[in-house]
Amino acid sequence: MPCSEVEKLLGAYHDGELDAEQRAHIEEHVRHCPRCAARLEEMDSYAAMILRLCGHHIPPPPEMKPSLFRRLRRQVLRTLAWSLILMLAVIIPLSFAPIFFREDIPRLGRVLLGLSGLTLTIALAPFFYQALRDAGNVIWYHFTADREEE
Amino acid sequence: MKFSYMSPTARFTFGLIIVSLILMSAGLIVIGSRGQHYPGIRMPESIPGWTLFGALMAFILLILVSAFFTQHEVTDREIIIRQGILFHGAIPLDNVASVRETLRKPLGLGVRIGPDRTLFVNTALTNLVVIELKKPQRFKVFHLLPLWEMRRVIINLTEPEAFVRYIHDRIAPPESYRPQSWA
Amino acid sequence: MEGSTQADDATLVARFKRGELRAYEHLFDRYQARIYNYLFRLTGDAELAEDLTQEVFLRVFTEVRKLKGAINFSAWIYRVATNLCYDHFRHRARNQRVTAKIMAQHAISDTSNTPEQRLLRRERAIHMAEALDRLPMHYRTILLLKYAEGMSYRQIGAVLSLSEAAVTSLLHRARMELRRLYSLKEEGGESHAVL
Repeated sequence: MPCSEVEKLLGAYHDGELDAEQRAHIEEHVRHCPRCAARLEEMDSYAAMILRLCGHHIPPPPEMKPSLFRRLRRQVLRTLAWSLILMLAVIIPLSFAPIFFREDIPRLGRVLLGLSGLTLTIALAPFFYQALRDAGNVIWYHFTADREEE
Repeated sequence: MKFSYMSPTARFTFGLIIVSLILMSAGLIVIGSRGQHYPGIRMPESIPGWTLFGALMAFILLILVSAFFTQHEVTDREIIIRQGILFHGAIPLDNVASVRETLRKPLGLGVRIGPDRTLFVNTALTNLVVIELKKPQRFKVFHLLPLWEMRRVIINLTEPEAFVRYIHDRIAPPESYRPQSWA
Repeated sequence: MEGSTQADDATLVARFKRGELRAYEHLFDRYQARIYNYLFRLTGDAELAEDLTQEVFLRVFTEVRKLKGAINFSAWIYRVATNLCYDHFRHRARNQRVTAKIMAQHAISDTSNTPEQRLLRRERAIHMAEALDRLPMHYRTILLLKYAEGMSYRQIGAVLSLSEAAVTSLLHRARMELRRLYSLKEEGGESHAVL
């Protein structure tokens, strides 16, 4: 086998990713090729060096977990707040108010606008529901976590 | 190979929003036809005005509805990006520098130009993929209006990982590692 | 081992999808250190790694429930971490010097050899760390996934959305580039004082 072909597979061989047939071919070649054997040894020392450099695990800061859960709680409550604002302040007044307050507007027009608002509300309801569910889960989690700590 | 950008949930949501817009337009037309107006909304007061309003609403609805019927596509030579009648662009695979999922949060939907000559063609704010181009490329909106030359395009997909993997199998394909003599 | 971990992850993900935040907390405890260290080695900045790690887990919260079917959670979370990192650095250059110093510092805790050998190993560690630092992001990423995270080619492929053949090719190119940069350092005799 030409060295140029073997060289491309040396890494995979070193990493134990070749099948038995490929491994046998590489081993056969390396036995008789000092250049490729040297390459393999070099690869080994590089891998060992990288492992030594990266092998040391740095513990994450202890405040990361409480900080994350605080951020999560803020994010979830913020999403819920925006969903509520959208649902209550925009859609409902736009669509339902005329049905109740403006008798002078043609009924068909009011009905169509009401249906329009209702459809929009249904379209956005899943997001509102999800925001509500998330907020509930997070609040429940914090409530039970606090009680466990006590 | 086609890749969808609208999940069933997105279709449901957008479909209802479109129905809502149609109902709203119909309601406003009914009110306007009686010579009245919905509080806070300025309605046309002449036939040409109403015609323009109707045409505008129809055009907006066409843009929104047409987005349901198109998909992105990857052929042997290019990536075709579509969004209904609003957008159709082709990126030759030769011009793709890289493609990966991105977690950027775009500010809106549709076709927009972002900072640093980034083109957004998205119907959702998540499941985004960024396609970096080797050479800046010019795209058109409505098949007509040219935009500036763009350096990257961000699109959304229902299966972004599958799209990225599909492209990776096509750009810079790996050399064969099984020499003929081993076959 | 990998099989049982994946099964455990799948159970936790299923419980989290049902709304159990405890399961989310367990996932956090399981992956926090790994993701933090991975991001730290990729970015060279402890504070940024902390920020990005938090961002990863915030994405876990919002995105995991939308994933359908069986999820390879480990590959998924590493993919999110990698992409967040790439997004962050799309306009900024990575702080290259910091990583080299910190990584080499941890590698040089070797008391078994002679002082001359220790000095040689120290220099080599610094050169290797600097060479790693100067690698383009995608080469650095794949080398870290392989050697620091100990992933197989299949797992790396799942993280980077590449076929195994493409992983082999990319790793080969990454090693060639690392070799070139390391040789330059060694030949240049560039040696920084002990940290």
